[in-house]
Amino acid sequence: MNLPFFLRDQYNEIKEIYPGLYPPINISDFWVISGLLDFTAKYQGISIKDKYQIEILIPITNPLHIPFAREIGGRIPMDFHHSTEGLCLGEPGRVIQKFNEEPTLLGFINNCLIPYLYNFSYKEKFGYLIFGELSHGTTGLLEYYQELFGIKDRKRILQLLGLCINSHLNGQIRCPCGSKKKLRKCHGILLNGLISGVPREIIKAEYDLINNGNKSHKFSPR
Amino acid sequence: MIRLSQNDISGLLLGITQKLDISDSLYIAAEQKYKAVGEWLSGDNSPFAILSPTIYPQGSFQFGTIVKPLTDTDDYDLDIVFEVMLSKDEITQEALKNSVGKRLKDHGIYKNLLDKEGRRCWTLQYADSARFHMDILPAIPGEDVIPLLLSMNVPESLAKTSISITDKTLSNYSRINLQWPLSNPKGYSAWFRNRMLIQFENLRRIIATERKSSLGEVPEYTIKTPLQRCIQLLKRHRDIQFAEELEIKPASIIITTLAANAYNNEADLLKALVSITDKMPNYIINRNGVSWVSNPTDPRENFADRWQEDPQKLPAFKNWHQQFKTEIGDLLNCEDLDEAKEKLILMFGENVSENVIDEFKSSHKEHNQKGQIGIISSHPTVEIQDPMKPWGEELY
Repeated sequence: MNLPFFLRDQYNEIKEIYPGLYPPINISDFWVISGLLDFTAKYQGISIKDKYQIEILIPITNPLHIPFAREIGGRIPMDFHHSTEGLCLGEPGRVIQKFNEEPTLLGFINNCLIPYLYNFSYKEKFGYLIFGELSHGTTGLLEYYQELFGIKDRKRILQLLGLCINSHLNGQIRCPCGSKKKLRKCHGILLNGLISGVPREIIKAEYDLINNGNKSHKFSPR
Repeated sequence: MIRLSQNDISGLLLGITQKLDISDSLYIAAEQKYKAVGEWLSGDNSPFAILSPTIYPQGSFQFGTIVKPLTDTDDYDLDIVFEVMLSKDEITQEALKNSVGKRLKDHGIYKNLLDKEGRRCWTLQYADSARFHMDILPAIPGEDVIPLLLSMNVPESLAKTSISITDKTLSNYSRINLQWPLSNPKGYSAWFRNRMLIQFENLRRIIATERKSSLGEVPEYTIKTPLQRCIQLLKRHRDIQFAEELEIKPASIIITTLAANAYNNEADLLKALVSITDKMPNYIINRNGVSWVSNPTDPRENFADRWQEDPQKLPAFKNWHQQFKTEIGDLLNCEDLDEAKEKLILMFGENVSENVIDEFKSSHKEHNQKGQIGIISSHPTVEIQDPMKPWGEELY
């Protein structure tokens, strides 16, 4: 199978910076880039230099999809933020937003993967996660939206998410957050950001999960 | 006293496996010999010439997991398949087996090398100096089982190489009959390769770069992944543990299958070994009270079927595995080279361990004289902005 041109170009871009990563090879349903990711990253003045054995998987049938990442050196334990596909870099909708800011392999590595690894290295060094973490499963989704919207109440969060799923936002209604302001002067801007950045079916899936806490539903938004 | 890091221990284990490898010259000699047998069996004067015959290796020679025998008087075992295009309604198992045997007996040299007829194979016992024997397995395609295998979720790419083989202990051996024993060495080999594909391709690139050659020019037998290395270590340890109890020695196919299942493409030998050792028993499943090591190309086949016949075998496997795990743990706790040497000798034998320790000492000395050269990294710093918090699915 031939490597798509854009993937070849994107690989050429990353290999200049991360020469430990080998060219994509075809393994079953994925293009797989693997090797040593040797990086230096800095956050709030603290610089960490580290390296991880990683794999980046790009689905062949949908190469524009966000890649999956795995750590294969045996350093990050399975109970540290993993999904069935690999490392769980963040809340699914947020990962898509983040990725779309710079939707290339290099962008993925720099904006999504390295911060995750930095967080882990930081914990190894200093004993805690500098970026914090979300709980697993539905609880973590709720925590994410609580933080994003700045409100605690589950029902109100569901009402806000519900607005994103339905047709279009009416800025004139009262904001469901309870502020008594009009939506457009309150959470409207945030909701517009969600609607434009995150596929509707993902918001819908998360809405359903938070709504019924349905644990038997296998959540695979990506 | 030389203090040891985990890297050093990984290096020592790698050194051991290199000592366990078959030498290049022996490998090439073996390859030439089986190809020569293939030519004789398939050549113009052969009755098989018109039956699209093929000959190919199977077993540890094919997987790259061969381990040097414990003593100089023991043989390497080279397993090959001889497959011809016939169907089960055209020939009996006996006729196929005998016609291969007859063709071998027609050869001036092979007739003298031929051993007593085996249950499924013909064996050529080469001279002592050659140090190996060759098991030749007569076979015909087994395509009639493909639909059944597919229905059991065996991938088509693996199922399609199934073959039918003979077994002279079966009651239908001399009759035209569709119930032949099955095997699938090509499928198994493809499965095994797939389990380590990432590291295999990585190493192929590394070797090609070192040799300044193209990927295609790297002989596959020179590529050894951590999985292959781990299997060599496990098999060697087993050979030593069961040197006096051959009848309950765990089979290589069981060790290979469990280890390949447990391998997660770790790049580092020691990490791979620790993780494989931990996880390999998880792939012995319990099917209605029977301990089962499933053949990945045919879930109906239990590689551990002999554990039923001999109740000592399963405990023997478990004890050996536990022993290996404990000794690896001890090795990891070794602080200096002398301590490690003792453990390595216990696990993998005196000769190979002493050689490796000597080499380690001399390279260590050299290294100290040269001094450490720092590697300066040129990549730019990633400034992290607005980082995400990691999340996780609930894994059920």
